[in-house]
Amino acid sequence: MSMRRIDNFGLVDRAKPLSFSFDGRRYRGFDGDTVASALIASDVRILGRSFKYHRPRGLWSAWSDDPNAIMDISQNGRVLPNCQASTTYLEDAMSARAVNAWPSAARDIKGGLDLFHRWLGAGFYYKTFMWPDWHLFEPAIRKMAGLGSVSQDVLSDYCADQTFDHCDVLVVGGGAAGLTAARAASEDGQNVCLVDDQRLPGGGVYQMQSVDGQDPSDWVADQCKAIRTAGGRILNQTTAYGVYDHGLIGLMQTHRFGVAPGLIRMRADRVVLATGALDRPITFPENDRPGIMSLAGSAELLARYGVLVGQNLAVVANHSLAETSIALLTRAGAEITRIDPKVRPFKAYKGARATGLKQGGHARLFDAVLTSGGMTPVIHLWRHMGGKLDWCETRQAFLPAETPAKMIAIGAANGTFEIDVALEEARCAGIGHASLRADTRYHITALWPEPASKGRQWIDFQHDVTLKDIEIAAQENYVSVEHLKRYTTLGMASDQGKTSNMAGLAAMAALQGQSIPEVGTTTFRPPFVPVPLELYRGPHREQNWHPLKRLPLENTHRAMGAALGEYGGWLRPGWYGDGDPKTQIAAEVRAARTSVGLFDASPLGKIDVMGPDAADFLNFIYYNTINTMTVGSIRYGFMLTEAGVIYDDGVVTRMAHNHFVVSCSSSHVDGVRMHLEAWRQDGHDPDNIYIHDTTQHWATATITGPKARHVLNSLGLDIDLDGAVFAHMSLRETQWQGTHVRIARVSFSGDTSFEVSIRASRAASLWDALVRAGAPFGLCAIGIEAMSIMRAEKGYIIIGKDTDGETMPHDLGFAGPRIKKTSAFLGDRSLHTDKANDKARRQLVGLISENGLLPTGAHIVHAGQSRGYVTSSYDSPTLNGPIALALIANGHARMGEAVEIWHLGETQTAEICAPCFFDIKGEQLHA
Amino acid sequence: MRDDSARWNAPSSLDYASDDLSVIEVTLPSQIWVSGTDVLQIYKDKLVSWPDIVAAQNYALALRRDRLLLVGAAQPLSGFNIQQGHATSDVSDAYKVIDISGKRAFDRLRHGAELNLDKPSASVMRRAFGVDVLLYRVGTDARFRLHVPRALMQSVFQQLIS
Amino acid sequence: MQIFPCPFCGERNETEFHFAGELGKIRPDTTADVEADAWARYLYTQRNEKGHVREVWMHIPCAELFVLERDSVTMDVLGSHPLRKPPK
Ligand SMILES: [Zn+2]
Repeated sequence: MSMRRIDNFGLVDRAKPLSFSFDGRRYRGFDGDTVASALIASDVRILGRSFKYHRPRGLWSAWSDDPNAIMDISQNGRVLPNCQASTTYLEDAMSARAVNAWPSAARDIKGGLDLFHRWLGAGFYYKTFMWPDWHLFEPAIRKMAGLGSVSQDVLSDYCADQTFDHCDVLVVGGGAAGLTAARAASEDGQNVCLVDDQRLPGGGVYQMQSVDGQDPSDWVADQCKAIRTAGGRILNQTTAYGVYDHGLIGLMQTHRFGVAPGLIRMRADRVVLATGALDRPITFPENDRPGIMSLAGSAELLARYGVLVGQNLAVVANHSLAETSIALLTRAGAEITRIDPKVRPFKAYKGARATGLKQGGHARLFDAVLTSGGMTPVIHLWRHMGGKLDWCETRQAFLPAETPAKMIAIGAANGTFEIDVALEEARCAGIGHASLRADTRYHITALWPEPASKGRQWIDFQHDVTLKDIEIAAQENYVSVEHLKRYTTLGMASDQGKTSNMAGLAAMAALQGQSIPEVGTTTFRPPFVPVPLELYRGPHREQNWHPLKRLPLENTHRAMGAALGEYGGWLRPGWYGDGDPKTQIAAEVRAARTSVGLFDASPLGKIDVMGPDAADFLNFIYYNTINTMTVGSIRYGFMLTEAGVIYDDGVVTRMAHNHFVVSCSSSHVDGVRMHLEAWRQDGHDPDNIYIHDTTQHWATATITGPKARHVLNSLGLDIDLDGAVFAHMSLRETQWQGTHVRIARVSFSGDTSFEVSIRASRAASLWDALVRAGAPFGLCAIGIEAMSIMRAEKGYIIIGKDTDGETMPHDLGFAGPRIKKTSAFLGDRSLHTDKANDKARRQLVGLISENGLLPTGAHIVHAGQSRGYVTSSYDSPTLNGPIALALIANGHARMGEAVEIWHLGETQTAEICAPCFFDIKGEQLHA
Repeated sequence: MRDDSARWNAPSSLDYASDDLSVIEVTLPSQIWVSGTDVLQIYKDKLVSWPDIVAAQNYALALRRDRLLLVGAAQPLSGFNIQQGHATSDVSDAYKVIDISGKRAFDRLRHGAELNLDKPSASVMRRAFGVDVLLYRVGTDARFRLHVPRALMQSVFQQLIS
Repeated sequence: MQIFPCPFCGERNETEFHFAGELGKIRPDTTADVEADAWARYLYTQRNEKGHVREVWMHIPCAELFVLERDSVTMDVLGSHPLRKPPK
């Protein structure tokens, strides 16, 4: 079907033709093709446009080192941007479109940009758009920048699988060396995992006539079979894209088009790096013309896909390995003209559907010009791992130097380009022996960019960095390779410098009069190939992104019509019922204030602190004095940080002489547990203090309001609930229907309240019993929104809402321990710094306003400066009017003062009052 | 202030079965924390760590250098026993417990934690699926038991079976 | 992802650990007078060394507070031992 497809070459399945389109035109390929190989087989020469100048781009190489053919690809309504055509396997009905080109890569209307190249050199944007203001130009420049376009459609099932794995030996690369090492290691009894990024392992072996006397395909099949028989694993289409801390290796396993790749976080005792080597470009004028491609890439196109890039081919190469490729191309019937790259000047030019080369006055046209400037070992993972590099003058390449712990490089990645030597090296590496690098038969003539030579000579094909740009950078003193990279964007394209880095740093070396190793390389960073962001997200999405804690009674609340929301990391009822939330919430407040409310307080912390030193320990942890508490009593207190700032508030119960329960804020339990553990083990005797966070064992139902005692009485408990006997801030333990319950008389609403705690599995029974018992008294289930209003009416704070990162207890009016407590406690010294003694500290006050609700967060201003802000503000159903709490500078001394409140440009006035609006004398609380 | 009820699936039962993965909820008679300097020593005959396989009904899960979780023991009073120097809390309802078996069981668990059966650990506690859990084996080498803090079991269960 | 050794549990993934502070901070005796400078040093001054560091970490699942010695440049772990005194 195609003049470029050669019989008896390639691994594609010619019995399975596939149809696809590129830039709107239809083409055909075979199963096993990549999008790029199918296009080359169809004689398509222009596959993309460069980033800056929109120059036409042909295919440079056959696999992940190609910087040119970047496409947005869709199939069956699934669109993925910026796919590498050279690594995307062809599937039927694919539709590909070159990025950065419109209407097509062949006819791009921005192709004219190239005419302005004289003004668009290195640093153009930095120099040009400085004046008067970058931001004026930014929107237009951003619009022109970028490659593919992201589809607006959400692929809801595009979800990366993420898992951990481990093995004894990870072999990266399934070429001749990798397969041999993996076989040796698995036959040696080691747990082996071989990863290879292609559909069929084998690397470059298909370019050879035989391996170990065998047909390459048979040889590969034999090795794979032997590895599997010995218990080894082979992961195809899997790229080791990065080595992270402590040797964790990121593996990306790709699947069919449109299916998210999988992430395997692999730990290996040893890594064998068999990643091969890449062919590098030769720098000469117009070397970016379509039709000029890598010699190794053209050989791979033939060996894997049966595609011959042309009949009439020029080969420009400077090393001995080129002979293997030339032999292969010749076997497929190509006519080869050798061009000696050392004879300069030579340059390329544009011919009609052909590529021209001019050298020494002769001009000739070729179907393609195949260049090879030498082999660069792929040592990215080696560098990620921290391995050093040595410059090898013989091979004109950086090679792995002394072996870092746990990693060994073999084959072409190690500069071992001879197959027989590589196989022996691989066998040794497989069983854990490093072999000395042998003398090489490879020879190469040094060939690097020549600064000050004429013509536009491309270093980075995708980002349009030319030799001239490197000269400009050097002139402007961006001589460090890291600066050079960022100033010119050399090596910052999606191929991350696989083709451009060596030429770029060689050019800089020449400009500086230094050697290549003196200039050095830029840092190699993961990922080795572009990976979709989805790889990192995986299952951390939707309900798994930040899983909320779930109440034992959630289904009960749902059945009661609760509106559930996140409150401090828990999914809790905000209010109940379908009506207007504000109305529902106000009704709940009124019911709880006039009769009785039932509230699920289960998330409240319940941390047992036990042991002979428990009392003294808590006395140190708390601002308040704890060690004087009597058994059965409850005390409200603050935990401070060492900076004296309030970290948590809550109540402590003394259950027994050596047993306390710390009831910290619902949102703070995990943090408080760690805080207690840290101080227990550092500074105290951990053998005399034990901390058990039992919060999730319990469910807690709070009954609050004037009728609370009546409801509790109806449960028939064996305790005297009389207010004089069972006083506010005390605890009783008893049985309810054979189950142990704790009843704490504490209050967050400001009314008489009882918190009844029972083991979680019995929560529903207790809740139902309370609902039934409360019915005659008008009991109403209330959500956390109603509770928040009631506590604000009483002036009770919520940590982090009515306090901030500077609030100390005396700012809230709790000054006693600061003055009186003599034993050491957390944060004590910080309460006596100049800052803590400052008169202008922000203190908690109430605000009343004539003009309606004050916005939460509104600033109290004076003379144009903020003197504090509104922390809580509600329409109080109890008072029939707005109430607010605020932190205001020197607020305690300013009762009755009018202050100016500023919010979003509008001001109003309010009056400072005490932070309590309900039951100021505490009669209802203690009733 | 927002009604997010519909954004969160109502808690479901903790049972799941497919050809290669089975999850069932297990109700243990009791779970009790006991802390003290000598608890690991005292319960050493019943002690379970990673990757042990539990055979008995009553056993002691090693959690910390000075704490274990007694499974199936009679429930003593919570509090501190001054003679023994032991602190005890009933946490029977603090953890939900599931058994995971089937060909994919270990693979599914490895989606949530870096697990290695060849690497013993003195404690059965670890972080899996972002949650501090207890993990060990029961009955066979391929049946895993997972204790998950009650409030986060739904999240762990859903990630496990997805 | 780093692998840290908990002195009790053994090697675990770094996601199980929490940095608690540099080793060697002694809390001043606050029942006596403490100069503001000394207190500020205790609160805020960090050594932030390059190379071999000694730090206090918590292994969250088992709550063990321990000393981790590591290299802040290479990220190599050099050792770990319990913070608490040896058992009686
Ligand atoms: Zn530990």
